[in-house]
Amino acid sequence: MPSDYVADAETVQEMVRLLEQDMLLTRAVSGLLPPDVDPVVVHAVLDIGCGPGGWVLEVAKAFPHIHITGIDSSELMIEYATNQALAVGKANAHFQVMNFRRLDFPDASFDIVNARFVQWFIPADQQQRIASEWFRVLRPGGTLRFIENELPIITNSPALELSTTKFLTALSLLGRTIAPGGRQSGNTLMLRPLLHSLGCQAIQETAQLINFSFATPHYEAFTQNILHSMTTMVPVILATKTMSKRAMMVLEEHTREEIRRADFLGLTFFVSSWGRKPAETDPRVHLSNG
Amino acid sequence: MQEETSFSPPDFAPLPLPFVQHLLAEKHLSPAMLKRDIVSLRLSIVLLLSPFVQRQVRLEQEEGDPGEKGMPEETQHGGVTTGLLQRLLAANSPSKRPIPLQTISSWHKRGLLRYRQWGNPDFDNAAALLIMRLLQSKMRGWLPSEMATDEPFWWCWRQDAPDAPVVACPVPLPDDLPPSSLLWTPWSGAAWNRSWVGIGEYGALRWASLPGEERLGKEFSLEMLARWDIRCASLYEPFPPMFGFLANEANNALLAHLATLALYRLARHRVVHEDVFSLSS
Repeated sequence: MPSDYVADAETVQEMVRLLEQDMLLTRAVSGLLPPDVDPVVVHAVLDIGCGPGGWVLEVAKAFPHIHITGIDSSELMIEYATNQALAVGKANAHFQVMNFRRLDFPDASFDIVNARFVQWFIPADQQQRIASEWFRVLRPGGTLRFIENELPIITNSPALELSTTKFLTALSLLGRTIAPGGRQSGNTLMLRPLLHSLGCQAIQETAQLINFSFATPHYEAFTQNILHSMTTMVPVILATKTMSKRAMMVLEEHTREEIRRADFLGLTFFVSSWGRKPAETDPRVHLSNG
Repeated sequence: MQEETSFSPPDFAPLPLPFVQHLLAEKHLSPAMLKRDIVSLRLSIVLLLSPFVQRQVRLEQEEGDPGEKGMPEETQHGGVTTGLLQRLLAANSPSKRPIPLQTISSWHKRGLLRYRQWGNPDFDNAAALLIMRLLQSKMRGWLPSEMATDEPFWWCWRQDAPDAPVVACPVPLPDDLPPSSLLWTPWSGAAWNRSWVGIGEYGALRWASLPGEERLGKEFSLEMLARWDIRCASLYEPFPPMFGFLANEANNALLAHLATLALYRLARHRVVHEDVFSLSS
């Protein structure tokens, strides 16, 4: 299936990086559902770009009455997620191979549509059009939520700083960043305007800071994931001629050394933004609109 | 020539010996460098294959269970299948081309691909094939030409007593192992087989046999446990007979639990090494 993914999503290295990312983000980002959503009235949830299905399975476990569907363009990821669900006996979790540009669901099928870390894979000029397809399958009164992170990472490691800058430059050349100049992604800036442009109401945002400096609880998982990203993003960097392979290898070696130091400092943040699809008959909309 | 004789097969688990020899010859690496490459790959493979293995085990347990057969069709699939292995190998090959069934059949005939049952590759062998594919970028010749059917799947470490030498031991295990032989491996996927106790990502350990198994007519005894771990053995308080019946089952279970606890304690200097730092791999 054609994919918007910038890396090769079905190599073992990238699959493992996504599995680790899925686990650490489900742990690090607090709150499975938006805080103002009453889970009792939620019956159907869609997760866009579900990857290995970690979030889907957590929701399925926490709320057995919710029927949750995860979609992803990678057949192997969906196979992995399905096996996970079957291995743990979660009958309310389902996974389907599907391109997020054309959802094979009727209008107004879901109470919540969730999209984590997908902006990286959508050309900036197509975000509104693609998100409107997600909005289509949302029931009136339902909630559309985005969770994204921002680059560059804030760090005292010169090599890590340079690595993320180079990666951003490559993404910028591919048209996958919002901010001009390729020095920051701007992904988190766009969430509120995107929800607003779709017609969402009661838009809210929260940010979560993740400190992954040496010896912090998030240190090992985040740094491991960064190192794996450096490996799997090599083809992207090379394709955009941002750096030579030799330079990439040297930079990775330096990054590896610097993040092992006891004085290593690293900080990143996630923004969660959500809004409600208008529904005149939905009392929650009237309530939140005052 | 010196390098040929200096490597230890258990360091390269789950690769069988012919796979290791092929890699050393083809990649022109020292055993130490190959070992370093395999350390991080095997962790990735365990993470990737585990849900499929769990599903496969569950499917096999539920085989013949009418409840399972009555479930929706999609829930009857999954597990470690030939199709999955074909897709994973193709996705990680330089050309990304599908692997034809003829190739799979040829690998099987030449002893390179081993099956657990029809359509379901052996877990360790599937992991070994993936590691071989990931370590080599060439299109052809990334596997040896053949492997004998009696070639061990992989090798672990064996020690028959605390003061006995540590030697390499083939898997499947020989039938003549003393029940209290300690076996260990850095291959954490070994714990997919419940006889092995997984120590997180560090590896896995097991006893050659456990109390109650009556392997070779002998049992793992309290004396044997005491030789390995006197503190664990000191926790053994046998249950008294009840209405004249011996409490063998409960006592065997208690001894088995203590023997498993001892494995965790013995792991520290066998699969957990103080100089291991995950980011170094």
